[in-house]
Amino acid sequence: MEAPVKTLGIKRSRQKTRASLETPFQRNLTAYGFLAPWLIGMLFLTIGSMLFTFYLAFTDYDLLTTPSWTGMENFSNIWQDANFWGSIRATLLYVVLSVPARLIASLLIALLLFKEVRGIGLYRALIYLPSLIGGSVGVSIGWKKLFATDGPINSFVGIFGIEGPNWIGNPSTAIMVLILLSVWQFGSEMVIFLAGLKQIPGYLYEAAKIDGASRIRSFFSVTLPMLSPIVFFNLLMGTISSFMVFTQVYIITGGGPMNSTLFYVYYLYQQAFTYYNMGYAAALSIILLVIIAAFSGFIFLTSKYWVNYDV
Amino acid sequence: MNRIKKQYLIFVSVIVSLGLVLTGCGNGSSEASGDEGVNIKFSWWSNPHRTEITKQAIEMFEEKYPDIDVTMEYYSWDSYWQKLATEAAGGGAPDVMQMDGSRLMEYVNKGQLMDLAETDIDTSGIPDNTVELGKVDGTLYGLTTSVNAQLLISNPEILEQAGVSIPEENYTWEEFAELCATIYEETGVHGTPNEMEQPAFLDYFARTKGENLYASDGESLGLSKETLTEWFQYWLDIQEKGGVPSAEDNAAYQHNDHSASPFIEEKTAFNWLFLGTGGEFEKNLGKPIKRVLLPEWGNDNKPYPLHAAMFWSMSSKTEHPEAAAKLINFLENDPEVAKIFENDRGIPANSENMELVAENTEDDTVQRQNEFMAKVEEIATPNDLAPANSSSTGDILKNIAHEVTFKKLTPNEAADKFMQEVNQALSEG
Repeated sequence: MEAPVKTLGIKRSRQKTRASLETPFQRNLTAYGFLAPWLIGMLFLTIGSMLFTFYLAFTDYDLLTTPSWTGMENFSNIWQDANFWGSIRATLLYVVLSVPARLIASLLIALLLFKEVRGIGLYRALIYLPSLIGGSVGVSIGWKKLFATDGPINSFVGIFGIEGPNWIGNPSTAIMVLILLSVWQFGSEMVIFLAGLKQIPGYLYEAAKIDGASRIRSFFSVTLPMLSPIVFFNLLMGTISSFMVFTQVYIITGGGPMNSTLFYVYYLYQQAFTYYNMGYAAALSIILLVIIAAFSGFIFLTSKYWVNYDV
Repeated sequence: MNRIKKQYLIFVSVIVSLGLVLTGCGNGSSEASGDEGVNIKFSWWSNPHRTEITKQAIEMFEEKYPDIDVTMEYYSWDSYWQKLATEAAGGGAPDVMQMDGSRLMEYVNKGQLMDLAETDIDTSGIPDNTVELGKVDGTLYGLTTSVNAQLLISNPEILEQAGVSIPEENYTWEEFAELCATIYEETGVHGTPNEMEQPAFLDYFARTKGENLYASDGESLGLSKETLTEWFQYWLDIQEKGGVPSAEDNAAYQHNDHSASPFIEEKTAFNWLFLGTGGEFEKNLGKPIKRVLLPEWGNDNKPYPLHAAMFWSMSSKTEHPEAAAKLINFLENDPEVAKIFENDRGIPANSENMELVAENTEDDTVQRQNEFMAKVEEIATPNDLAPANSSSTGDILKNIAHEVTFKKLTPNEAADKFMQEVNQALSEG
């Protein structure tokens, strides 16, 4: 057991000489090799497309002929485009309502499922799994039937003598149907909250109990502050994904009625693939990038006032 | 040893990553390629039945021409146009493609299509005015596969319950509106879905007034503001009397989703559509339907348009024009193919094939479609192709129509807005 020191010494000196012969690139070749799958995808599929989008945003491009440079024209047209502002309004309404609603729902369900009762694993799986498919085409079609004039929802409220509207055809309720569908996709947030709840040390609750805190008080004074990094994470991811909602609009409302659910990405899709205004759509996507960056930045900036990283 | 291991690792990881990238770009739908000869790509928009019969036809083609191998691509309507435009942008447009009258002009203007008159495709079996439908400025860019026409289908049971019938002779727009209102009063079933948002039907309305939706140069609208206002007012009046579903129900119904039509759920007595899709409605309703000519069909302006249901077109960039021409010729003229296709793509353009299908079919829908088409051909005049920049007209009309049905816009304001927005789109491009 006295040998190691010596061998280590030799090895180090040997490595030193080899290292001096190799360039840093050669030394890191293995790492690059392992990174290659991701790197190639990133370089050719993501970065390449992004740069091309930046270029297209300043052109008039209809896919079939070569792009022609138009400078800022797309952006100035967007500024005067009533549908653009309509889509901004609809999307913001959706984000502002659906993100907090989904956070609260996922936290509440996580709290319910945190209790250690028999078979809790099964309950967790049963509640978690369906919510994963909430963004799928199949569920969207089902959702559409659910909220039709003579759908199950209206049959149910009919029991109480209420005549429900056509939820999807009514301009003021259509967006609510989409928000509700988003709330139902609480699964992944809930799992992260559950993991977070497990990390909170039990002694904090004991201390709170000794101090005479009620359960509600200990939720607000212990659970919530301790969970705040996770709330932060879920808030950020939720905001970004809400800005990019597409499938549900495409299937359920088609942006209607009267553009009340013309969400940004759906409008971008219309410009790109229905009207073939690729340049205009590229400009729209850059504006979306800026908006999402601004919102994320804002959430990051405020985080130091409410996210607690102690213990 | 270390060095070899390292190089080996690098080698493996690079291979794996290349593999990932390549499979990502791979083409899933290509099928066993021939050892020699040429490979051509053929794309069409499809429905499950059409996919099946078209595959059968391609099998027969490959048997007949063993040195030509056909790669098939088929999509739903929406995805088809996305895919086609993207492929054309990348220079990889299919050699043979199914084309629609609403897009033909656009692809011609962009230089994507081949003059079919220069190929060996045989058009002798097709009536001249049908071939004419696929010409732009005298050049044949699309070969009409089959013809189509607008019509009303009715549910005879509901009409009987309401104690009404649709006149055999010419009838007016007003009479149709009254019919819808009476049906609602008598049965509680609406007359028809609200068709205010459909450009093809607005075009027909304009034709009954001696106008067209688009001007002949395709750079502006062709109809007058009076006609447009009248169109919005017409449907709004029917809506007030319950002749069409409520604004809400109408807004929730995406009109291009045929399986969601209220006609199928027996919530309307009529549905306005193209002849080719009637069979689908009949199947979904599960009862026989009646096919009726539209209001004012017999008026002096000869409003009935003769439509090409779809075209076969060839890419101008194709490397194998001869093989592509053989395929188009086969799909268009081969009697065995016609027997498989029947009326799936519309009434066959090739007259002999049309008769052959009628003689051999076990589906009596074919017979009734042919009879109807024979009536239409007596009264119809060819329809102009949609202008190149008209792809947004549908969405514009839909939004404005919704605002009218929800009474956010008066018909007069709606007409102004529609003219302004569509004219702008047409002139900009």
